[in-house]
Amino acid sequence: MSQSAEMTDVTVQQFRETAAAIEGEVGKVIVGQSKVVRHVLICVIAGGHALLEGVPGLGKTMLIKTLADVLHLQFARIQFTPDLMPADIVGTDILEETADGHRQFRFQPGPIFANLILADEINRATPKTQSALLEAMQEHSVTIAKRTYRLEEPFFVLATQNPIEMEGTYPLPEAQLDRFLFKVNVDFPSSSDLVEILARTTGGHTATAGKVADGAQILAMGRLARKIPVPSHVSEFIARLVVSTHPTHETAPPIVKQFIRYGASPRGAQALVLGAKITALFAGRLNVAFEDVAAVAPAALGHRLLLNFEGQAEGVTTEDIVEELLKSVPEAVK
Amino acid sequence: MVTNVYLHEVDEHLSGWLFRLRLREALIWSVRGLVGGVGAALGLSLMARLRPVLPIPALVAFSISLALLGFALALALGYFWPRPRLAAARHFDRLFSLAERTSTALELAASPGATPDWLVVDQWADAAAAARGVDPRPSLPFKFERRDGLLLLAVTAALALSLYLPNPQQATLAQQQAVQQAIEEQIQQIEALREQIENNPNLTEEQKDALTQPLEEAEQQLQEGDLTQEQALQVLTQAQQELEAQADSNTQTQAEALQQAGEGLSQNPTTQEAGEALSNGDLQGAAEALGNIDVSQLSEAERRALADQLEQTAQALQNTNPELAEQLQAAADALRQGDVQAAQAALQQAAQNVAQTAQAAAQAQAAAQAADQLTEAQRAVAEAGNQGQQGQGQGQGQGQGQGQGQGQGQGQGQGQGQGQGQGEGQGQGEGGGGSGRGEGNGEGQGGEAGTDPIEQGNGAGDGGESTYEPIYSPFHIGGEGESENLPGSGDNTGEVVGEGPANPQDAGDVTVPYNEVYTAYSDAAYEAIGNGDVPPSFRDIIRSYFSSLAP
Repeated sequence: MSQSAEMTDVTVQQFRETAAAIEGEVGKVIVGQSKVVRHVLICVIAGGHALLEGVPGLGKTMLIKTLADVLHLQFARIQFTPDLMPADIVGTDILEETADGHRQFRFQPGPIFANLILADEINRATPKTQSALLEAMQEHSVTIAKRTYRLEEPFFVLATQNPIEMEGTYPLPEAQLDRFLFKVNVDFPSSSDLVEILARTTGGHTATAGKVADGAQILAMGRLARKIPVPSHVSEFIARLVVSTHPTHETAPPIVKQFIRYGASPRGAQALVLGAKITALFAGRLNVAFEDVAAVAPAALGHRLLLNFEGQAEGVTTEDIVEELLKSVPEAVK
Repeated sequence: MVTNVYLHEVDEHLSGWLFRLRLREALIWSVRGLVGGVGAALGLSLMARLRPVLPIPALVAFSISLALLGFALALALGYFWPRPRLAAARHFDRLFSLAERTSTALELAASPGATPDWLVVDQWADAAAAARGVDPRPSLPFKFERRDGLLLLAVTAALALSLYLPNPQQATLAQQQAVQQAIEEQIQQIEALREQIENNPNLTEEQKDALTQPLEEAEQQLQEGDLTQEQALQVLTQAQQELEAQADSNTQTQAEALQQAGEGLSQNPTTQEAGEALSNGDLQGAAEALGNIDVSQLSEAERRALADQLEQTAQALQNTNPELAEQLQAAADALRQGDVQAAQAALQQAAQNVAQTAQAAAQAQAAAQAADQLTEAQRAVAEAGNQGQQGQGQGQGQGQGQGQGQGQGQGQGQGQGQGQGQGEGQGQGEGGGGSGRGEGNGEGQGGEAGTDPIEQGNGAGDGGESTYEPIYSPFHIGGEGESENLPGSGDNTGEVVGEGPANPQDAGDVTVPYNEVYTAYSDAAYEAIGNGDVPPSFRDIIRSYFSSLAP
């Protein structure tokens, strides 16, 4: 590889090494879930936010905490409950008395003023509280009493939600879901992974992860990833893929027309491109390929497809539809 | 456009893969082209079994040509089919699992966009390294698909079978070709005949035009091409009849009488030159000699001798040329009366008469010769069709011929003759061509037997036995008339041995000229043949019958 990369940026080799080191350190604590770890790391490098969905006890919170440790990022956990207020997230002005007896308002930052935010069970908070977080996710700033406070970069929100306990929850609206770069499904571990989990977590020794990167490196890795070229026919494929998620479009396959009410927005295409670029770098390649797009498509598009009543009644998942789209949309158009 | 050693290496690999792809596609498509060519040949061969289009050697040649053409065309298309480099690069990226490295390298070379130069170079290096590890042989093998090979074997076998098996259309084709060749030959003959007439010094321009016009028309119609045998015969018959109309038999009779009279005239010294010319058939010379006689220079005795001779000659020519006889008699009378002027004038008139007769005789002779040649042409065209079929061994003779009256019996196919022929016939029957019911006297020679297993031979009474089907029985032509003996053909001095009524109800002389009767019926017969109303096996019988009756 050439040595002419920018000094403030990382090289491809450094990218691969850092990414491997991050995954390795996370792997010391988290057993299995390599795909989840990879997707979360892609989100972090891409500068996006991730929504992790899985039943309780699968290590979602542990993963994010470990990642924060490995990346030497300031970590904050917000446990969302129905009585959580927006001020509990973003902060508030408090009245305090100065030494000379004057009273003044002082802004007390909320837990959102961190680099890596764990928004645990985001669907349990009220829509008003959710919107406070989502505004910060979009703007990377908070506005309180007409004053805007910028959030320090890098800023990532890794939210979790429980798909089982829907009673008393406030599911995120589709427009809000669209702000998450990826939605990652955390599956139950395999029996071999479970054995390893038991060995690590019920013994006398608790695994810890060391710090192998920092925020600046993550930002540099993100800048490098954005420079990776996408061949024109792969870009066209991504566009055809996203357009085909809309049931009213002529290229939509039958499964989309049957089960989808509304398809992915252009943010979905952007998520595909960014995720594919980073996936290419992980593979040691300096260009995006079709396989890179296929690797990130379920995570990038799954939460952006809105099922209709028939889809919900049939139990069809959006990931299944995305997999079908990858088979039906041709890679090349003659 | 940025260039680089890595990019150059990528380009070289791409060129090599593309060349191998072209070769492979050329091989695959050449086999398919061969299948297509052989398939087209098979179609042509099958069509040739339904319609007479091409003979077997030509079919074989066409088959080979089509196969080679299909092969060459497909080979060229497979190799030279346009394959843009970027599209080829994308194809090879998929084929060799290069993950779009090659196509990205080409796109960056053409337009790096916002990609930094160092990243472009690194991508090229990555693409070159990946290309280096590619072995194109497993993905681009030089072999054609088994399905194509089996298909080629199948169509080739079908083609060989269709060419090898006997083709019923070949006989028809051979006949058509023979007829066309005969027509071509006759066209040349007619052309030569026209030239001969044009170069005849004894004919005036008007006479030449009158003689050549039917020949030109016949030649033009024959040259139109694609004429059937019947149509060609009809054209020749038409021209022959027009020429025969110009062959005035009276004129010929006069010429012969003059020729005979020349012997007498040559006895007299005065008319010796004219007489010798007449005896030699030089009527024009005789006319000049006659016109050159100067009566005023003759002695009395010579005049008397001349008068006697002229009177003798006039008497001899009375029946054949009354006008000339009168003129000669007038000259003789004037000589006896001593009227030199009148005698001279009469002699001049006689000389003019002889000259006119000479010209008329020349035209009649030329017309007769031309008509005879056209008769030969008809025979040649009729025989050509028969020989064409004979060449394929399709004789199915069942002759019962017993001599055929006159004419040329050309039996072929299922001849069923019942002739009691008594004329002078020259039958050329092939496996039973007995036709014609002339009841002449003579010996008919039946034609050669064909190769048919059924009893053959159509000679006089030696043919096979079969029931005569009077479909075109001559007895029915013109009604139930009495039997007539027809005069011998070609002999203008032959006696008319019989005359009969044209209608049983009417007694008396024949009122319709034979030419017209013959023409009407022969035209009807040929038309029926041309329309396909006559079974194929009877057509030659009918043609030969009417040929034998031609005036």
